[in-house]
Amino acid sequence: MTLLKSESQASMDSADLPEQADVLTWRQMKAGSEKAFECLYDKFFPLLFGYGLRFCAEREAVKDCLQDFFIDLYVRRASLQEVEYVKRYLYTAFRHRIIRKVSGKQPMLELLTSHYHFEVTFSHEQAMIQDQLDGLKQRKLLRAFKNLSSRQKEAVFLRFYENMSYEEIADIMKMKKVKYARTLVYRAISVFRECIKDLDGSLTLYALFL
Amino acid sequence: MDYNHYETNDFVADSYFNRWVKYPDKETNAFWQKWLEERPDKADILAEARSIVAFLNFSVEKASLEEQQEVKAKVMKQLRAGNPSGHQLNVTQRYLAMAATVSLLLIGAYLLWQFVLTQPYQTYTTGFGEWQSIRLPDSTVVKLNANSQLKYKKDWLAHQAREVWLEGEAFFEVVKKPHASDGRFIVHTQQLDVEVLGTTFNVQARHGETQVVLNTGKVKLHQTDPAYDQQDILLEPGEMATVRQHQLVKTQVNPQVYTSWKDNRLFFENESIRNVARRLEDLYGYEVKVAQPEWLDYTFTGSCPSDDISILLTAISESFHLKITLDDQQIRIEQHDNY
Repeated sequence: MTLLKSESQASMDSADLPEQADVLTWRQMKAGSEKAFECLYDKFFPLLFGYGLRFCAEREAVKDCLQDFFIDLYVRRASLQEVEYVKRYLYTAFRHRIIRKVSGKQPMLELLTSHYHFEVTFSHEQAMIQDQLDGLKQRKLLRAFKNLSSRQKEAVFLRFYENMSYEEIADIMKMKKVKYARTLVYRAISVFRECIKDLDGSLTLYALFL
Repeated sequence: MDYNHYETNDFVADSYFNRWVKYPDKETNAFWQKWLEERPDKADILAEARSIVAFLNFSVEKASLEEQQEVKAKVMKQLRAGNPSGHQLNVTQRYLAMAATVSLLLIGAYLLWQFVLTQPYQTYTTGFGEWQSIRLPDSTVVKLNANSQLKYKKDWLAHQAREVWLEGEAFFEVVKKPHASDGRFIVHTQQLDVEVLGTTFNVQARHGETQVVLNTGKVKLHQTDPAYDQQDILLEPGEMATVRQHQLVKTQVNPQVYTSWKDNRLFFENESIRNVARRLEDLYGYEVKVAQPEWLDYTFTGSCPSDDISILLTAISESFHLKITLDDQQIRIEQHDNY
């Protein structure tokens, strides 16, 4: 139970320790360490690549964008702020860049808050291996998900795939208050729940411990 | 974590629940099994939440290690070549960029200048612990107390009524203009317009309350809200008018108490500690902390130079046997250690 406590207040994966390590690496990079920069690259390239593909389906374009992003990061290292949360900073900055890249020269503020595309795929879309949901439910949920706004999809993705806390989500998605992130996620969950409820599926206990 | 009041949505959003559904292990299985034994009534909810979390199983394409290395090689190559941006500007572009910067600066300067010129008001502002003496175009002298603002229109016309706007507190020595077609001098505050003909008086407008104390001459008061401006109120020397929530009250006071600040003295006469504290907060920006609320009603008489309030604090401390400490931000009034 002690684990629960610390975990519930921070992000889903109790990320405190790695976060501190990132901050140290960040400082070293700011001080000019190329090694530190490479560390950050190796750690965050795969993460940002997966995230970037949500905004832009072309792998090459995402790679180009990441290339520019990391070059810029190192070139501007001295003028970068001290950060408390490296992951958040990188996600925010990269999100900004890729949205701009994808959408050309539209006004940035509007773009970042609503006018962008965000798509996800589900692992069960390719292979319909499902232990608890029958095909109909599955399709209903998928349709419901596709109907969410980009913003809702992104919040759900950050929460359930990236295991981010509401604070992190609000920060990255430029929300004025943390509670908006929670609201966005909860609204999406309610939509999913309606889908399941409509069907008279009897959900039974046996499904819980497969 | 107390899951007893959790509904489906809460479980779906919960990180520990997610961990169990996505990556069940001995610990999580044991925890949720035990929890279900205690709350068998929640089985349906848990099952529902579980199927939603199971559904939210995203598949994200990974970058191959080759791709990661390939991009990294490009990044490092560019960084080491010292050509970080990758697309250097040619000479023409550089001149264009420079020209653009210069024009932007010029436009900025011009706009700022225009802004200053077209600002219709001349404004004076004092911070905490600051005083300012202002001579208006008609030679009227205004002493602006700390934490206050006074403004007037720049196109001050000789034949029109003289008007100033005040937030905070100021003392006015208004020059008489008997020969002007409109010799009035008007001080506007949020709640009250004070109209005068050559006189000395103090106006304080703070905390939704406006207070006018007349030293000499005569002033006429109008409430700014027309709904309450039934009739003009005239003040005689030694009278104070206070407006709070549209209620205007007249009292007899010793004007010296209210206007001593203009001669760089703070003066209190049978004043509650509450009001003394408020005065110190208004004028110096201190936060006054009082350990016992009943001390706020103690009354105090005394004065001190306005640039050295430690004298005042010592006097209060000795009168009531209280310990008073002063630092940059706070004045703390506490029980003496040896009491």
